[in-house]
Formats: sequence, C-alpha cells, structure tokens
Amino acid sequence: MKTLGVTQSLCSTCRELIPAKVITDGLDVYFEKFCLEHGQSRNLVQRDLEDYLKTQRYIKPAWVPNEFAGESSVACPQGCGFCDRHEQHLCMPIVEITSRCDLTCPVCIVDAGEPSDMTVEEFGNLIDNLIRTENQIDVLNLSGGEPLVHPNLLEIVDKALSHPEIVRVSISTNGLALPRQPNLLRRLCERNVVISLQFDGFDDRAYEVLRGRKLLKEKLEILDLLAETGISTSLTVTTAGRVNEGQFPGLLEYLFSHQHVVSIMIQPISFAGRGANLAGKADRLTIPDVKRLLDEAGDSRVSASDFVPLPCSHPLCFCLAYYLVLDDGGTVSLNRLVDASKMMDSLVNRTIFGLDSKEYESLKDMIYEMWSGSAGSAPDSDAVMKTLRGIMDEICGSRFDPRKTFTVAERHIKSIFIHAFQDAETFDLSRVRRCCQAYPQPDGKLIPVCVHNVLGREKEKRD
Amino acid sequence: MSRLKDKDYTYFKTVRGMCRKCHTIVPARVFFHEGQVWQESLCPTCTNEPALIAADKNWYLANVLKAMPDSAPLPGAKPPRLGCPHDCGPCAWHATRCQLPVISITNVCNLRCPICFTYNRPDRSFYMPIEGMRKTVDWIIKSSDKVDLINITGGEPTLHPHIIDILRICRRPEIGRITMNSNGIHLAQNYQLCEQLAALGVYVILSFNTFDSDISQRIHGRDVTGLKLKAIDNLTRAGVKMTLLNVMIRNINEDAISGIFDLMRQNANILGLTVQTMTYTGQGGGNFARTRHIPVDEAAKIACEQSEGTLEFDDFMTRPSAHPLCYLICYMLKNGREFLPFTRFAPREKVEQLIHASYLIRPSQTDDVFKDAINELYAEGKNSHLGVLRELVEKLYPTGSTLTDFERQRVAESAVRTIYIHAHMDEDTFDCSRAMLCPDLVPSEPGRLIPACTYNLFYRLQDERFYVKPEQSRIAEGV
Repeated sequence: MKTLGVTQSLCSTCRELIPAKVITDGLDVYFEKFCLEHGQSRNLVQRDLEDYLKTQRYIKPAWVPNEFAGESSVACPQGCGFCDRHEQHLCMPIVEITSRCDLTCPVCIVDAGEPSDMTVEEFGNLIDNLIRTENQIDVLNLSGGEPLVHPNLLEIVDKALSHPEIVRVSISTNGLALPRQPNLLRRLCERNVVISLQFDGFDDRAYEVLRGRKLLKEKLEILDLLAETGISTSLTVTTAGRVNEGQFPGLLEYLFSHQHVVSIMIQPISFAGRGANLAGKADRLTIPDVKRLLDEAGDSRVSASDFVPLPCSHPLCFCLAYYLVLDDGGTVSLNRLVDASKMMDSLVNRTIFGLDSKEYESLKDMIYEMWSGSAGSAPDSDAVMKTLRGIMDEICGSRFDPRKTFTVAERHIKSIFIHAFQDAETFDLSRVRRCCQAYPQPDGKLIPVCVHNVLGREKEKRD
Repeated sequence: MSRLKDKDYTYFKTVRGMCRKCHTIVPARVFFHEGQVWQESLCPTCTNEPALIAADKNWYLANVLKAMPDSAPLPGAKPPRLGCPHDCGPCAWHATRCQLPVISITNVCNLRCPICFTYNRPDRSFYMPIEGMRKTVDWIIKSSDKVDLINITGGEPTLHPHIIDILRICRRPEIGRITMNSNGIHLAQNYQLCEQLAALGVYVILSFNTFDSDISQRIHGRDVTGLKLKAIDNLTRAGVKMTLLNVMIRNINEDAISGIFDLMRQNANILGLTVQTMTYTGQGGGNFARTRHIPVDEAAKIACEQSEGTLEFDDFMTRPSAHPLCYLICYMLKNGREFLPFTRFAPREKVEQLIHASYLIRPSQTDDVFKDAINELYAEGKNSHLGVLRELVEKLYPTGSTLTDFERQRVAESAVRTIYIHAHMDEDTFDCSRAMLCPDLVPSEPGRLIPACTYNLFYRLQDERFYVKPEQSRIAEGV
C-alpha cells in the first residue's frame, strides 16, 4: 500500500467524525478508519488512482453568498447551513416539499419519517431567503418524498416562477402520478418545468432491487407521456454494480434519439438513508467506473474522454460531458471541440452551461476562435459552425436573458452528469466543505446534501 | 441580477490541523492565493491566521498529488485509538520507518534563544541518566534494526556532565553515524571536548544563523557570532565533521546563506548545510514576532539565489520517504572549491534511488550512479569533474574488496556536500498527513517513537522532564 494522507470521515456504524487514512494499492483509493468504539475498517472510496489525483486539479475560486445561516462556532459539519467558512455558494437548491411518497424504495437516501407537506407560504419564505442569499437561482429543484403528490404543487411552481431570479424549475419524480393525472403534466409543460424522471433502465430487475417492485411497464408508459407532451426531460439513473450497470447503451440511445430528453443524471448508488441497509457495498460504483461503463457502452457518440470534473462542486463529487446537437442530427462532444482547459475556464460556478453573462461571453469567444482556425481540423467542422452560428443568432437577438438562453441551449446541447453522493463510508470533510448542492430548510439553513443524508436525517430520527 | 462575488482564494482541500490558541485538532483549509499555497486552521472557537506552506502552487500540486511509500505498520506499532496525532508511539498508521532517532538528553542550555522551538522547563534540570540512554538506544535498534543516523540534542547536549559516556553508548555497529546538535558555545571554549568528539567519530550539527552581531542579539539573545566561528575553528582543528544548521527567518537572516556557502567551500570538514525554516512554536518561537513562514520550496530558491550560480531549484528533490512539504534535498559533488549538483550528471530517478529511505546517500555495491555519471560527464565534455568522480568510484569499489554500507557511506561523504531544506511544523502548519510520514522520531520513553513535530507540539508538553504547566511553574517558583 501507499498513502495519500489523512482526512476526516465518519464511522460507518456510529457516524462519529473520525480521521481516515487515505491509502492506495496503486490502482484504487481506500479509506482506512479506526473508531474507538467500532474498531478498524477499510472501504473503497474511488476507483482509479490516476483519475483521483488528476481530478483534484480542477478547481476554481468559489462564489460568496450574500448571507450565512450556519454557525462557524460549531464544529464542522454540525453547524452547517452554510457558515461563512463553507467553500462554495449554493448552486442547486433541492427543496423537499413533501415527505410523502407513493413508493418505498429500498435505495431511498431520504427514508422520510412522518408524512408532512410544506405549505405554499413556507415555500415562499424559503425562496425569498434563497434569492436574498444567492441573487439568482439557475435551477430550483423540487423534490421529496414524491413532489407530484403535494396537493399544491402547481401553486408552488407558480410561486417559484413569479420570481425572475429563478431561471428554471425542475421536479425530481418517480413519475407514477403522471398517467393518473394527465392535466398535471400538461400544466407543468406550460410552465416550462423540467421533469427529472427517476429511471433506472430498461430491465425490471433494477426496479425490483432498487425500488422494491417491478416498475418498468409504468416507467415506459411515463416516458411515452413525456415524449408526447415534449416536456424537457432529464433521466435520473441510480446505478448499482451488478444490478443495472449494463443499461447505458439503451439510456444513451434514448437520450440522443429524443429531442425533449436534455440530459442523463447518473448517480452511483450511495449507501445512505434507507439505502444504508442495502447489500452490494462490495460492488460500489464510483465516477471512473461510470465513465468506463459509458465508454464501453458501444455508443460512438460518447467516450470517457468527453468528461470533465465540475470545478464548482468538489471535483471528486461531480463530472459532466456536454454534447452539441448539430442541425443535421449529429452530435459532437464539446470537450472534443474545444481545448479542455478553455472549457474549464468557461464553466463558472454553475452546473448548467451558458447561463451566466460572463460565461456566455467566453462561450462566444470560444466559438469565434473555432471559427477562425483550430476547428478547421475538427470533425464535421462545417456542420458544427453552422449549428453554432444558428445558436448565436438565436441568443444574440436582444440583451442577455438567462431564461431564453437556457431554452435555446437546451435544444442544442445534451448533457451527461455523473454525481457521486457520499455515504458514511466515503464521507470526506474535504469534499463536504465544498458542496454546492443543498437542501434549504424552513429555518433558512442550507444543509449540504451529503451532510443531511448521512448525518442530518439520522439525527432527526434519533432525536 | 448581479452575480455573486468570487472568493479571493481557491479552495483545495481540508486537512487535520490544529488551533494555535486552544491546541485542539481542528479542520484546516488549504487554499491557493496568487499562485501560493496557504493553510488556515478553522477552530470553532478561536481565530487563526493563515500560514504560507508552499510558495509555488504548481510545485505543490506536482508533489502533493502523488501516492507516498507506506511502510505501515511499523514493528511494535499500536492500533490507532484516539485518532492522529494522539496515538503516537508510533501507531499502526505511521507510514515511514524511523530514519533519524532524535534524543533530547538535557533541558539545560546556555542560551535563551527567542527563536527556540522547543519547550525546556527552567525550574528543574534534567540530564539523561546513562542507564536510560542505554535502554533508549537498545529500543531504537530493536524497533528499527539498523539506523544510518542517530541525533543527540537538548537543550544544549555539551552541557550534559557525562556527554562523552552518552555518545559512547551510541557507538554501535547498528548505528551508522552519531550526530550531536550544539550551539557551539561550549565547543568554542573547550577544545578538549572537540578532540573527544573527533575520537568518537561524532558529527556536530552546529547551529549557525548569522554573521551579523545585531541579528545574533535578536535571535539568540546575545551576540554569539564570534563564538560560532571559534567553534568551527576548534572542530576543524580537532578533525570533527560538521553540518551547519541555519534557521531561516523571513526579513531577518535570509542573506546568511551565501556566507555559509563560502565556509563550505573553504572548509572541507563542513559536509553540508541544513536550512530549517522558522517555526513559531515552543517557549521562544511561540512568542517570536511572526513574519510570514518560509516554505521549503521558497527556502530552496533563496539558497539558489545565494549560490553564485551553483544551484538551481530543479537541483532539489523531495525525499521519497517524507512529506514533500517537510524536506527538500540537494546533493552536490565536491571538486575542490566547486560544487556540482548530482542532478547535472545523473537522472533524477537515479538520485532518488540513491537516497531512497535515508538521509545519507548510500551507494550500494550494485549502484551504477557514479559509474554512469562518468560516462555522462565525459560525453558532455565536462572533463573538469571527471577526476573527482573516478577517484570516488575507485574508493567506493576498490578492486579485491567490498566495503560495508556504512564504510561506503563514509567514503561518499568526502566527495559529497548536502543541502537539506527542512520545514518543521508549528501550530499554524500542523497537518496529520505530514506527521504520519515523518521519518524523524523521538524515543520519548522506551517503547515509544514519536514523530518530531508531533512530539514538539503535543507530547513534550506532557513530558515532565521538559515542560511544566504555567500554573504548576508558578507554584514551584512560589509566585
């Protein structure tokens, strides 16, 4: 074994914050921990040492939120919310508007307690607070529980969209309510909401293992409904080793062959919440595993080299690939078109591409540069240029408008995101302190996703 | 809608650091600012100032983002319990074998240096008993098998009434070289002691910080510049080999290096220079007016600037078995008054092999570094150094006999000059990742080997021989 140093992690049993020695066999990266009460343990953190080291170079200065609801006088991460020592602003708020759900997934990281719904008023206060803190929210995600069962869902969406500072609303859903309520989908479509559909592939075994019952038939029906309305759709895939890791060829094909499907969000299973009891820790998938699986999916449009870490999150938490959809139907990875370092420069502290006026300027520069030379040697350069010119014409019409830019970009760019949530085994204070995704709480606190899932909810239940 | 402001730094990672004020283990952020690397302890209750830990972000990334050799668990290591650094002894996590046991044989000193980074209780004198010393050395050999070096330190070791007996105990076939730290005052006044050291083959690590009387006053509490030069004279006359130890302090004595290089060129008994960057801890250093820390990479660059073109930064290498923020090393071939860095005639990997797990180069019977270097220099037409190398190779590999490792080491040192850059940690720069890789271990009591900086920051304060809590001290002094 070799060593990479010492960090702070958690005991998998009692969740006490304890030191972890980061070690490697030269191939993969492991934590070795010792808890005074629960003894010694060793677990995989990430496959591929080289990737682990290289990824950590992708970093940028963070943004500073306007307000802090957390307390730096409490030992990190107990005072989270964020405090003024947190290393990033809130990029993507996930608002849990209900704890009720019409499924009981064994993989659920939430494992909600008593059923309760957030009131519209509570929601209103919460987003007022978010806007004060952040100025602009690119994507406000509504989650749960199952948000579609909230009795005032549309009011909540309207409340959010009444603020020009909120560019887009997305809803994380299992989709089961949609066939039952055809009007609901139409209304969401009118409001230009993005549906993030939990979709674990085209094999029913995945649903049995991860969701607790067969769901494929219903999921396919939901996919058809979404396609009919043409509502912007993102497929959220929970990937588990030996369960649905072979599903990527079908998923990629679905992404590229449906105009309304704008992205796939791949989340390697995190053994937190109810999922802490799931079997399969030995088959843990990490970001490099997912990149490899995508590479091996046999889709000529996608390769592992298309992916870059997202520098605004902790780079070990999130990586992504953008694909430009050409007018002739072809696709080109943005990373293949432009120098990776330029692409990194143009990604500001946001997950969604091109939503910031500065980012938009650098995007323009990038396109002009391609125009003037280097892209001459790129594949399909004519088609690329034609498409880019079209996009520029559409966006450039008037002054910069994030909502408009978003819609145009969405039609021409498809994204694949890989988001590695932490659990008690992989928890790393170094990553958590940089987290840019959080659950806003009614008391104004913004709790980083992994802190809440691994520590917060447990505490709620214990108290 | 205005966008949020950028932070004025780039976050890199969080390490296990410590709070300067309350001495508890707290998370510390490592961040980049204007191309430099800083560490800032984040204590929930106290405020801490950031400290510079590397002057060049790119150098830092290239050296920190790599896996280090891990020899854990060391023989006799105990399982971790309370968490690094509270299980030292070492615990089963400690990753580097003991390469330099450091033994404090007294707390008595004839200087009160405002820069001293250790704790030495003033109210009671401690002298290591002979029997205790014997047990300690036995334990070191038992736990580490063979060591290239053993270091005797203090206080001021020459003030131990039985210093020669103490040193004699260290003369063991398992120990390659005995080094003794000294401020040189007693050596300047006692030539006989220098002769005794020579007879025992002891090497002296002579603290040498400045040629300037005013600066000496400021960092040693009195002008000892004349005594230091006198000590060098005495040691040289007696035939004692020396390393000069320079504590480099920003805005105070960075310019002393060029004079030290001159001494090294003139005096064949001075085998090397160790630059220890100033650490603001201990009784003296903890209260010394803080200027910005000098990290190892910056200290190496400062040394290069004063080397009259002999050295470039790339001549320095990290040690394969220590944390890159703790040590840089440069080996130079000595040819009369000229020095030629090894990296100029041998590939870096070869030089690294030569120092793999030790402070001293240890050419093995099969190493071809020097033999290859002859060809290399010949090919490049650098004929001026060929003679020295040929002579060295003939001595290292005499026809008809084979030298032992330690013998070969002693032959090599005659032709080699070494520069170590060493950054100790203080409260601001403490990082468990560094402590875990520390090769300098303190046998605080038989059965325990504690990493030097952890010892200095945590354990020495629990050691009644060297530390008395202020409230107890007041009682003892009848205040």
